[in-house]
Amino acid sequence: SSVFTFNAEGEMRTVFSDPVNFNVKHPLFNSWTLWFDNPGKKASTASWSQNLKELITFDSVEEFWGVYNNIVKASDLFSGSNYHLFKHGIKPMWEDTANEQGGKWVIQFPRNKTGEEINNYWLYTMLACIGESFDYPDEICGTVVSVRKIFYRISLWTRTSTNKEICETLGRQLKQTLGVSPNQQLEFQPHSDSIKTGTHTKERFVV
Amino acid sequence: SLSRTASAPALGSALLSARRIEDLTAVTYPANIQSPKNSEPGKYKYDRGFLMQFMTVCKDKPENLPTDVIAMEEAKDDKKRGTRA
Repeated sequence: SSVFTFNAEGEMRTVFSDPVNFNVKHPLFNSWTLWFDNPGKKASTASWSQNLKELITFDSVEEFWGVYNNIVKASDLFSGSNYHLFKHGIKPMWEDTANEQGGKWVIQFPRNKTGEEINNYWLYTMLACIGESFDYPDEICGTVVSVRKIFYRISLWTRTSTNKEICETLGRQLKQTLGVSPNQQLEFQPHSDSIKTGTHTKERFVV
Repeated sequence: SLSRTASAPALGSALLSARRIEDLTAVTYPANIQSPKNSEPGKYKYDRGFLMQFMTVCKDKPENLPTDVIAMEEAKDDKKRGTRA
């Protein structure tokens, strides 16, 4: 019907001026895919990748909120579960070519002291990703929230694990995003550390 | 079908038909809405304050979002309680 047609002289109706019949949406610079996994009791690698579920891919601000407002809050997930928000085309695993040279900044929050605040931490990290707020947005691969018995964990996955300037800038900006104390020290974890354990002579990035 | 035409538009139908904004500076927002800060042409950068304003407005569930695969603690609690009041 003509109501939905957009013409050259037509006004732009955002969701703020018309929540039902808006005719423009706010594009994201990247498309993002949300994944979920709950390994359950079995934690073998095979069962993990089988349990990893691709939920949805979106590329607008409006869709992001439609997704966020209709999925289970991080604080309500079973222990062992994770949400992964990654750029479309990057799988949330070390083996993906975008990740294999990369690493992650990790922050743990004790569950008893954090409670529902984890929902804001996770939301703010996702917003910084989809809003391209980081100084090196192309170096961001994705972000993960993990729910465990005694802690929550937020991880920011980066493409590089060797560029000190890039890694440390992203680490500092993650701390700012989450509002954690500048005194709280974070250590960067190259994925290669997770893959093969052993001796390491590489420089450690800390913020 | 008749029932379909009689019913309200499907949730999220505007989302599917809405056009992507090309130039963010061309958008006029209601007076109570803050425009995106530090936006660069073509970059689609959005600050948290701007993005948070959509939270209470964009409530419709996208049609292709599966929610049955997400297991939650509440389900476990319901089971313990037996039935929901």
